[in-house]
Amino acid sequence: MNILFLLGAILVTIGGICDLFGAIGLLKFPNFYVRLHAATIGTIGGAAIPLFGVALLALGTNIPHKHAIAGASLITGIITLLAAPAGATALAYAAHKTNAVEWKPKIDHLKEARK
Amino acid sequence: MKRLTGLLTILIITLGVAIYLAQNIIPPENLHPLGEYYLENSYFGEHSAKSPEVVTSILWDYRGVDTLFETAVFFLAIIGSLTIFRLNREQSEEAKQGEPKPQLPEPVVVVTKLTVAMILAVSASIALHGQLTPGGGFQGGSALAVAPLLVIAAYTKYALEKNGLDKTRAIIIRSIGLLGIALTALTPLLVSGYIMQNQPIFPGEALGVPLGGSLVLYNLFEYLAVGAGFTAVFLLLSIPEEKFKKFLGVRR
Amino acid sequence: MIELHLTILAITALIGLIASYLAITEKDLLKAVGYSAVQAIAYAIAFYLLMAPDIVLAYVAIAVGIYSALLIFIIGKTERYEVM
Repeated sequence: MNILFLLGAILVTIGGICDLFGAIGLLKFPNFYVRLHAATIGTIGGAAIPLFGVALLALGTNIPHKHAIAGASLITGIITLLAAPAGATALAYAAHKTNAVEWKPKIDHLKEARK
Repeated sequence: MKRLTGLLTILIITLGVAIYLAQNIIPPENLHPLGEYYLENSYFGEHSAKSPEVVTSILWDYRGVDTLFETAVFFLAIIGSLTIFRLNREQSEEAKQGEPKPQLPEPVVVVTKLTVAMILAVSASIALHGQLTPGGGFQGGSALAVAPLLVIAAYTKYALEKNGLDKTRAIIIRSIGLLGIALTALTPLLVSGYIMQNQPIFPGEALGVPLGGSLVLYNLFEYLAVGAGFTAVFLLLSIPEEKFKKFLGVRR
Repeated sequence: MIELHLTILAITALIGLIASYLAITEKDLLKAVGYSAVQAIAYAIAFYLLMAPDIVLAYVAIAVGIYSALLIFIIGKTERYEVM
């Protein structure tokens, strides 16, 4: 049992748990912004981290083309890690700008900043 | 509810037809002889295009004139949209007036910068490796066109124009691409070949990399032309509607 | 192995069919553009399984990126909801 293989398996398992939590949060959370948080857990924790895990898994085994698989999943993971927060920020900003969400915030810094 | 009924009907019909057809299909025994010819000839054979990518060699060599006219259709479509949105000099100057500041919050803007750089690199590699790996001029060019789209979404079209990529330049780059394709197609006539001839006239490889003769030139020029053509259309489409209404004298 | 490929192919084709039906019947045109992008992704996977990577490269960029963006530009210039 290789240490890289073990680390990769742990990361993939964490990814599965994050996906489960993200799905539960999407169903249970009260308004759009908090649901967006759950969706981002699903993309970062449930897609980027397992991709890094797959890279480590591939390096830890003796399958053919293991470096190609590891590199491809590492790059895909990094791009997901970049794109998912940007997408979530843009969604939250658009929802705030159009007043599409019914919510009762204690403090709304973005609204104060815009005034 | 009505939508669901329609969807279910279509799904059941499709599945029924698919299951009925699946029992009656006999898979073909051997490859089509023409396909076999292409597979054997594209790199090794006597009528070789010196390219390991069979699809690109069919597109730009064996069936080159077909692709030439396909490209012509695409450019006619772009010329059509440019004609519909045509503006005179003062109007196009006025259309360029605007604030080039980011429309979206800081993280999105930073990620857009990184993503645009990555898209440029990937599209160039798709187009310029078109003779070695799957891909080619049109694929690379349409990937390239996503980059100005992202810039327009995250900043504004004015940011693109202030940095030097306005409609006129896009059209000039597109024309350079078209001219390059035409010249590459006509070059073999100079050495008494036929139109769009590839091998022995163009070099088969350079520095140990297979170039596929004229394929790499066609891919490069098509890449420029498609990317710049789409960019010109996007620049025109992203002019705000109020300005167009003012130009056209529409009151509402 | 071929059975697995064919099963994934059938599933992606069905997803594409469902998404295109929803896109046609949707009254909110922005949502319809979203469904059309889902259909494009499903078909891109189908093209990949049918071993046509050249088509995939062009299809993803055009159908998901450029086509959706063009439609959103047009919706921004006209109206968002389809009028019956």
